Amino acid sequence: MFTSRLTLLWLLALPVCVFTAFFLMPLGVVLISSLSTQDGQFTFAQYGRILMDGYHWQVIGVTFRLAILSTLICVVLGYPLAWYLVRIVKWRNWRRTCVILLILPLFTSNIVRSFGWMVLLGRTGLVNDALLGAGLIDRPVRFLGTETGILIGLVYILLPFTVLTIGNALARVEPALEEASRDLGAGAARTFFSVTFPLTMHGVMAGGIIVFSMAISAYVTPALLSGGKVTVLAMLAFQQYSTVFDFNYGGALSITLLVFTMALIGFSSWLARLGAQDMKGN
Amino acid sequence: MTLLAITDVTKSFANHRALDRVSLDVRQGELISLLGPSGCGKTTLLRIIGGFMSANSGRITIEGEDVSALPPNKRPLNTVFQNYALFPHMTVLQNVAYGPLRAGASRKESETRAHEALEMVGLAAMAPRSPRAMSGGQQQRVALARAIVNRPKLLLLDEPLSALDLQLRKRMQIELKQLQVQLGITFIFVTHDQDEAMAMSDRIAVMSAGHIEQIDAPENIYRRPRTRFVADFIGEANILPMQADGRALGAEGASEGVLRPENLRVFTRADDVPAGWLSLPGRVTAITYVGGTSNIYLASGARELHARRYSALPEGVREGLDVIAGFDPADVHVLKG
Repeated sequence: MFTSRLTLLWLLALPVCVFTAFFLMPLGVVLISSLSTQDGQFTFAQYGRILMDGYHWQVIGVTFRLAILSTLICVVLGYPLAWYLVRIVKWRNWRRTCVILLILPLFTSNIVRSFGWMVLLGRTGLVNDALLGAGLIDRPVRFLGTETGILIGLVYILLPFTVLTIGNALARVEPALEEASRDLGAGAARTFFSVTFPLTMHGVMAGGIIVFSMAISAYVTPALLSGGKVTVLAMLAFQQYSTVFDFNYGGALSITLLVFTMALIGFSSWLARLGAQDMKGN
Repeated sequence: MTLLAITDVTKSFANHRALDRVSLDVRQGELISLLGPSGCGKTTLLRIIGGFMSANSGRITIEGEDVSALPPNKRPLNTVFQNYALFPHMTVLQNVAYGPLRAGASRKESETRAHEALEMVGLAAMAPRSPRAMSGGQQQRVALARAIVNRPKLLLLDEPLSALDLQLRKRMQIELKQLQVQLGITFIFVTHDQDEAMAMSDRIAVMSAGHIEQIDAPENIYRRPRTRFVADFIGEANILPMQADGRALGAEGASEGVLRPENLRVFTRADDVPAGWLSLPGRVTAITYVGGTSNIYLASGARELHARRYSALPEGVREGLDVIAGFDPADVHVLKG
């Protein structure tokens, strides 16, 4: 008994230390500095400065709009891609190639990929050239410096995460369950919405949360593709830390971002549970 | 009356022929088993009937209507899957109500019918539970309720009892058979367990290597197997060289006779063999005594013989003893060809 309790303590101590050192401590430092004045007095002034100012609300709005849209687009594009990889590709080598193509960009730096999109999305970039050449537009569309441009960049970078999580969930759905649904009189579409989709919901949620949290805190892609014309919260926080050296205000910005993010994730998973419960009946 | 007619169904996979021109007529209201070792094509045949797989050639008709090209949801049949395939994200009631809902019944009516079906399998109290929290036997019943709730003309069962332990399996065999008679639904039952097939079926189709060896009532399959495969697969068989008329032992390579172990007797003295019986000399190689049954294994030349008695061992028989194996030629079934 004694040894086992001691062993347990030791086993628990290590992860606790790691979590404290690498996750809680930095967060604590940021939290404390966000609640302090320059000379160390306790204050809510930083938060007042953020929440009372319309400009900050506008930045928060842009940040969340970009993050929510990239999440939705990544899920909507990721699901069929995952379906293709898991259900349609029969040839193992081709599936492997597809997965490698999907993951490969993750090995390159964000900066390089974002610069790549700057080149592609420029006035005379490949995208505009192609659209002009195809006669779909009369003059170049402005992508750089718009939310659309940032969105394209974010979706490109974050899409693999939804494909991988949804693909994983799809591969785990027992084929017999779909057969049972067909056997009981459901058509292909009904089977998808009543059986397959609810059973892959956890993959959709996992992918969605990864994409959302990465999109909402993304700095490099928005910074490079915004051309200084669009600002997200992470860019503001970075400015405060790197150029203004106002750690208190920067910290408050970071904590604001964190709180809003967690509130939204909490809300959406509650919504998803509700939806899943509702779907059961059908 | 023929409910389901399977005509010349062939199915090939990349490297082998799973079904080779299989034909089978299933009558209204009967319980027919597809019995065979794994890889014989029984599950493939069931999947083709269910519509989960399409045959390369051949025709499947139900009540005269060709269903070969119909998807599973358009066929008037239901399936009990091997591992039950209950929807894990639904309650037991929702699982069972799924069929009626798809058939266009209102939610309320679907749930009423689901309750009735659950009552039939004795699980009405479990309706709000999750199937994941149930035992194998209970899941089995839910799967059954879900499959019969729409009152299909034909129920396909893919080794439905294979995941249950022996006790429960025996009880479910009886319950399934009773339910089948009560509902009057035609069952096609896939199994590799010959005892199960013998106990439950009106007819058994013994399959081997992609074709049907014999279709007949269990007793006929046992007493008059048509091929050596059937004789060996169903029960145990002594294969003896017989003359074509079955009256006397023949030369090696002559016709093969099937003699069941319970019809082979062991005698210590040649005088004890009744008149008109045939006999072979042999030496006892092993004796086992299992729950009221004694088995005597003999070597007669290169041939192994097996005698079974449902009583104590004959006096004086022990391993290594030279004995006489005797049998009534009327008990021998001579295989044709």
